[in-house]
Amino acid sequence: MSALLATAPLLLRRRGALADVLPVIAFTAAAAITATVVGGAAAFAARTPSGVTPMTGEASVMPFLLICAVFASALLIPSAVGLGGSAARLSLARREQDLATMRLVGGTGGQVGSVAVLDVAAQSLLGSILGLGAHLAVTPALARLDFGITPFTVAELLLPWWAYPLLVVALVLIAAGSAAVSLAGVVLSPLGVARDSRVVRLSVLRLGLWAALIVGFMIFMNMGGVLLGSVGIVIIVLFVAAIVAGINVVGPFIVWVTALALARTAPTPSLLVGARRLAGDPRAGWRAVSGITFALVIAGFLTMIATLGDTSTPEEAMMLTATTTGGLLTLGIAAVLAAVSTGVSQTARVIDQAPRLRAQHIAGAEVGQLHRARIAEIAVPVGLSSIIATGTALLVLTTFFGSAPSDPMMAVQYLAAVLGAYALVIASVLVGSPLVKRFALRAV
Amino acid sequence: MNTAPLPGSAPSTSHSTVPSAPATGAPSAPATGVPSAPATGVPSGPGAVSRHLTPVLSARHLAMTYGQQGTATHALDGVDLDIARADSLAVMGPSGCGKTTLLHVLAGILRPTAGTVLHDGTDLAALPDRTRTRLRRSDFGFVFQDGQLLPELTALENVILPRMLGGVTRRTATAEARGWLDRLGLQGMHERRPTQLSGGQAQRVAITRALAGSPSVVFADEPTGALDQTTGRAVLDILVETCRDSGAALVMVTHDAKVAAACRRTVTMRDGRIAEEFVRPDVQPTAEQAVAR
Repeated sequence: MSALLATAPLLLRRRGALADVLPVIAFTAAAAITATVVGGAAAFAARTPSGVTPMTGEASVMPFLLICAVFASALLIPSAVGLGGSAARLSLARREQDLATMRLVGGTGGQVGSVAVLDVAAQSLLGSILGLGAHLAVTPALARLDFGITPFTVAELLLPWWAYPLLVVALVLIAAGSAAVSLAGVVLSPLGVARDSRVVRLSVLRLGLWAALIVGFMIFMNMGGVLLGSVGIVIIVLFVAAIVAGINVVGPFIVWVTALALARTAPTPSLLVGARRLAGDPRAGWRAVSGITFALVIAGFLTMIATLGDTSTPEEAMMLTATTTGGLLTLGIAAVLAAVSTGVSQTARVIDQAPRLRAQHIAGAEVGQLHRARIAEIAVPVGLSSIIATGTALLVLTTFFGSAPSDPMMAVQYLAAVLGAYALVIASVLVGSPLVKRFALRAV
Repeated sequence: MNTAPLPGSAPSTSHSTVPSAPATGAPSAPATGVPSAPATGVPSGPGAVSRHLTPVLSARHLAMTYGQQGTATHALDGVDLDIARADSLAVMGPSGCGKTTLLHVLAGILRPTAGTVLHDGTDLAALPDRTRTRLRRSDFGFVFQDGQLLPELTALENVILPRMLGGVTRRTATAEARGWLDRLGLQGMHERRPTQLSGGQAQRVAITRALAGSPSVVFADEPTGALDQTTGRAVLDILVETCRDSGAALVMVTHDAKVAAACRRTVTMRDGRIAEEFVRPDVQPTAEQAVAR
């Protein structure tokens, strides 16, 4: 083992800057977002009175705001940690050839696997430390945000010192664990890495389940569920939570069905290739926009509640400002997460497909046509995500309030947020475009 | 091998060896025997095109130099070559002799440092990159060693993709492609993904893709290199035969003399020059003949 570890640096050679920087960027974003979100939620928790909540003043709204902060954290942290896991798998995928070489020169499967996991752990350690640096750098700016309450200080938004090493250790362990789990799914042989490739099939049950939830919610509301008092409120909250959570179940299915339909009828080659790639891995396509969809649903709720809200008391005004700022902040972070996740995975895909891009160009595909196929691949989930997010928010609120709120300014603001978030995701796809051109035109 | 009597390539048929004209750049006749190629032995078949004397590709004084002076490598050093429609040419030689560079220059993928490549009278080297890309799409077909099929697309979609890139409607391209796939023995496999096909079937899809646009020239780079001997032989026969029947010239790079023997002509390269050429007057075997051999 020691001999193998000694030769590992030679075998796990760096393959060019970008390929190795990509997982580190993903780990950095994951660490920075996790630390910032946990720090923010902790700041709200620290302001919440521990004893009896007073009826008026800032302290009276803190329990509600804490619930919102915890909700936003529950939305963002799994995505951020998930990005760390994806980065680990990505890093491993980049090493497949090296791992096969190590097997060829005599390493056992276990030895090679250990070296691969250690490699991922080293990258995640570097990324986590950089991420904490980014967290420290961005916190003063966050302290200036207006939540309608007494502004947070930088000290409040930072975690206690001991939390940072714990966070780094946790992220490194998650990355290493994720790498180990991915390795279990592949067979490392001296002749290369074998992977089972299956044609994806998703069950229509996903859609049925979600539709049943919506229909159930509408029936419950029409039967006067609100009149049941606190039990009714709990049931409504559970229904809404289940519908919002169900978006992640139904999202991949809708992406898959749409991609299949588009692939069968696509009139242009770019759409054909983009739709087929999406149909081949609808979960990955949806993952790129899942965080942003959640955030848009929440932002939709908040925007529409704000149009209905009557801020007759200072406490209500505080809550309104806090939820609006918080909602936009959540949307912003979700958009950054989505952009990093999409940018990293799409750029890695370009690097993996370098020989095929070259072959396509040789066979007559123009660079612009190669670009358009990549845009089509992300444009489909982005379009579906905006429809699902807006539709869900509208449906739930219309059912709840009996009519759709109408405030043109709010609608414009919401639309701007939607467009901004998706522009960021599409821009992240374009980061890989110079590579597409370079690989396509590369001299042989 | 590079000094070539091409032992493995000697077919059972008699063949003539045409020594290469010294590649000195003299405006001599090219090193090939196309204009004098006997028109006999051209099998007829559906869509067979008789060979004509005008070459579809004509290279003169090709030179390709990589690197700067002092460290410069001459990948091509004065190559003259002609190839006619429905003819087949194998380019052989040791690694680094310039055969792949020659293929890329002939296909307009690389611009030569000097010399011309005329395709139906147009000098490829003088065309801008975008025009050459379009020309490759409309007039050339490519078969690579590992097929390079897009794994997410079905076999049929892989074939129609280059046609759609060229502006042909999906409906028209699909109708054409189905006929080609059936003709190459891929009935019932149109909707399969490359991962659901055997290596030989995938390579036949790649050949279909190369031929579906009725190209004037098909370029193949070690097209059977990733296949076992029996499958490789079958794929090779299909490639040579379909190119010939559809009137496309075939330019194939290979290091395997047995593979080269399937072509009517073989040139052997050494140090960026054509060292020798073999012409097999009565070769162009039918599939049955090839299998029997």
